[in-house]
Amino acid sequence: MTALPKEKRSSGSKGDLVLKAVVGAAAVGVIAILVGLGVELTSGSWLSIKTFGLGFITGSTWNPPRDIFNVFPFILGTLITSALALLFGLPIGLGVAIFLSERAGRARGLGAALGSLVELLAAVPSVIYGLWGLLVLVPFMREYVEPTLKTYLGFTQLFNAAPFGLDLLTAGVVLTIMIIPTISAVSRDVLNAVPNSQREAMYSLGATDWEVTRKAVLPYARSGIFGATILGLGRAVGETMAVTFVVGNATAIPTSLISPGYTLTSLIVNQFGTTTDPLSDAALVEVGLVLFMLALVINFFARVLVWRMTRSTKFRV
Amino acid sequence: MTSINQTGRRQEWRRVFDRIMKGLVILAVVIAVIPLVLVVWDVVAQGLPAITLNFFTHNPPSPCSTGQIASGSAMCWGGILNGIEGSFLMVGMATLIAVPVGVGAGIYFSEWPESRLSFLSSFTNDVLAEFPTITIGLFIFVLIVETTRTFSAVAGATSLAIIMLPIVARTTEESLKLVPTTLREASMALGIPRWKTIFRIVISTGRSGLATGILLAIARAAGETAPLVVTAGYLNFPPTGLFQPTASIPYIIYNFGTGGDYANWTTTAWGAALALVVFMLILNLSVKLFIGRKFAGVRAEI
Amino acid sequence: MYPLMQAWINTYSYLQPNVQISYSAVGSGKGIAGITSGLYTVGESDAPLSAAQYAKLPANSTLLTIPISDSGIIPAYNLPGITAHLNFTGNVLAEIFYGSITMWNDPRIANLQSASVAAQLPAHAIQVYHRSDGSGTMYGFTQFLSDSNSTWKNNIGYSTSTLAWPVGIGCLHNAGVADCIATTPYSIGPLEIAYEIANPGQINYGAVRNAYGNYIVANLTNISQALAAGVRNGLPSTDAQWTGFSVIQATFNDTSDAYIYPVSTFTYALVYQDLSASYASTSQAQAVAALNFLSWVVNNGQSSAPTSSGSTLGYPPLPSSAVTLDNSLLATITYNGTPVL
Repeated sequence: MTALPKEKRSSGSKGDLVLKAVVGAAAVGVIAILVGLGVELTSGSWLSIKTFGLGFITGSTWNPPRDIFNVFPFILGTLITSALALLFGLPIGLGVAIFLSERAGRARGLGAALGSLVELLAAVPSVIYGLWGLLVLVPFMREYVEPTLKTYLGFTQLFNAAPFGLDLLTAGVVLTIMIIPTISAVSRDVLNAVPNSQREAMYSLGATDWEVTRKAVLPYARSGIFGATILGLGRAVGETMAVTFVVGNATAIPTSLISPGYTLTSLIVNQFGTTTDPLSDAALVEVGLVLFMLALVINFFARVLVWRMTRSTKFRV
Repeated sequence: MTSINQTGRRQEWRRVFDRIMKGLVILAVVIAVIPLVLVVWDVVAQGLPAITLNFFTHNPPSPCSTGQIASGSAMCWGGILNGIEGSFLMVGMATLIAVPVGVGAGIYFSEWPESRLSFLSSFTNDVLAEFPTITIGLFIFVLIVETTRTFSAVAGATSLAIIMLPIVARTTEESLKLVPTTLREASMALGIPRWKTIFRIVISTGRSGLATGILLAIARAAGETAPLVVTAGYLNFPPTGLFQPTASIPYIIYNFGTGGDYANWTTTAWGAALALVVFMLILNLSVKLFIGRKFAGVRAEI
Repeated sequence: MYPLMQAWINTYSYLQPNVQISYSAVGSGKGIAGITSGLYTVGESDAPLSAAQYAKLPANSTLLTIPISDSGIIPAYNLPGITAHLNFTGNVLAEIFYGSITMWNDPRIANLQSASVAAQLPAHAIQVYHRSDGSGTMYGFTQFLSDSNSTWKNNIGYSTSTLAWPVGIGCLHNAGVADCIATTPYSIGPLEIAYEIANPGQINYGAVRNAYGNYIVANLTNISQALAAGVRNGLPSTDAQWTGFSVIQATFNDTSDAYIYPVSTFTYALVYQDLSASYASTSQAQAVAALNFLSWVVNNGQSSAPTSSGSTLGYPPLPSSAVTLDNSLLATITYNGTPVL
């Protein structure tokens, strides 16, 4: 937008100043919230920070009666479930994005309908995915999927445990469902932002559709898709309710993918209300602080990537 | 001869490969859609038995053993009245907080984009939009719940407002940016002050742009559970005060869904899930009606 | 405990529609903190206050500890083909849950059984389950294990919050434990008796040896009897501190009663004796309503069933000695000098 000529009338400029101040205050407010988040989480966990120091995130014992609080197993659980979600979610999400961006032009009605369906996936609140996960997915995993995995892949440590249903793998599956819309929507915008000239050039060389996608569109959109992936990771790391229902709530380091585990988010929700003294209260808030820093780094990084890709276009993601 | 045959075979392979990849892409879409279909199906199948008129006018039932349920005791059936009223109260309050601040921030991002504050704040806004909601809940827990020493509707509403804010700000900014600069210039050339110009533009795009943002934000807030667990708590009755624990529909799903000892509690959870899903669908469909062609960049998913 | 309180509140609001009782289901720790700060009129706890918690109470205040409900914890298991009730001692249970006993046909288990049952024990590893969340049930169970086995006592102890179980997998809530056991052969886990009574026949469980030497299969009657024995064996006097009191410990060495179930616990209501004091933050109307509710709970609510017929929720009724005690405790609560009830 070009700069607009300044006002000459006094009443106008006073009104302008007021408006600018008011909405500017709102903008400052947004920053204040994020800063306040960090400040309050730090102050609320101060007792725990003083007591455990760095051992909070490197130690593995979570023993409330003895007042020992370490969160390494839960960091591990968060990373494993998120990694699983990305492993499954990236190909699917990218596939959906390619479909909607490159193919949907052909069959407009079907493409739009399917695109809407995938968006609707995101409209369902995560607590409902959690409920469904607990009552429908977990028995399915426990009775069909995991015994099969154990039979064929049990020689690796990854699947060498009693199939439980309430475990990291199931949590990973539920998280996949939650991040597919994120990855696909952002990727679709990124793919749409690739100039048509790129595609046309490849077509004129006689390439097939897939070759156009693979050689002209995807490389161009690479950093944006990477950004979409990181955004999906951010979503997976921060997801609470869907995971809480199915992750198994075990405070020890998990020994396999089909063992129960815990994530940082589920720990907070489940342990909340069972704290008995200021130290355990502070420890729980510190778990939130760890999560805050993790999410901050991931989201910051993701935004930078996506921003660079789509900055020139009208659409801000 | 040989080279032509090889070329022919390579062409053939390229076309086959193309078909395979197209098939995989379609497979990805099918896989993506299956969970949605399954979830909605299960929610409807399990939740429908719970839905009676009483479901919306009564509080949740007592826990009942299998024998008590079989005997048809009236105390074993209930509803989600407390959750409906609590959610309305908190989402309503959150909207009142989030909309003015969000619209204000959106106006600033759109009309003063060259300032450093604008850049920093809109970036922060985007970061906040994807933030884990449990940390936002913990923030309000430390800020409000610990100082007032009680779970409260106010705390719950504040945490929801923080979650809604980035959505409103973003959609306001996007809808304002779509208005051509020429409109602004023409208006100011007529001598209308800048602030009046902005308000006229805001009001004229309000019907579609802002309404979209508000509906999306409401949809987001209505489904949030984690922050409410640590700020609003739960109460088995409709709200008794702004600084009292307050029920909400998502919390009912969480609480009664994991208290699986009692079959009638599980049914209540499914019923609440069905009510919530229907509400979400209505909101999202309304957004689609508003969106039209103008907002290809704004998605329902935020 | 929470479902029972919910059932009581629902039933009571049918009887007294003008009284609205709000119940915040937080853990014992927050409940005690809430009473200490005056946030709640009545607190509820699965365990009496510790000395440290008593120390935090307002000066010159007297907090009454009133048993209002009870429960028993049973060792539930899933052994294909075995329908008999296996015999357990506290010591053997502690070793199983500690991980020292890993096989079902371990001689330490077999020696407790009759010959025919011992022969049926399979040569299979024991899958241990426990609660993943903290609860009064686990508090009672681990207290019993601590009393029975010094290794457990020194390394794990007991608590109302999450414990560092050395072996086994955690399942969420009572229902979760029951579900885990039901779907896993050769598993064992501690379960609240309420589940078994509310869903009869779904789960097998064992007998536990009491101080007298009998192996008792828990039911509503023998749990109630255990609690009566606990009352008999010395409750603290009215307004004394109840730290360290527990039915389990009080009956652990009680050899006089042959048929009590040794893993039985109370749940307590916590109320200040002087409700008009500033630290109690209670109005007169609230005091009257709260005490009427508590009195109803103690005297009428113990059948714990909704008004129509059917099996109960599975919480054993308070023994009459406890009811008498509670009524006398409630009678001492005053507002501005006069008794509330």
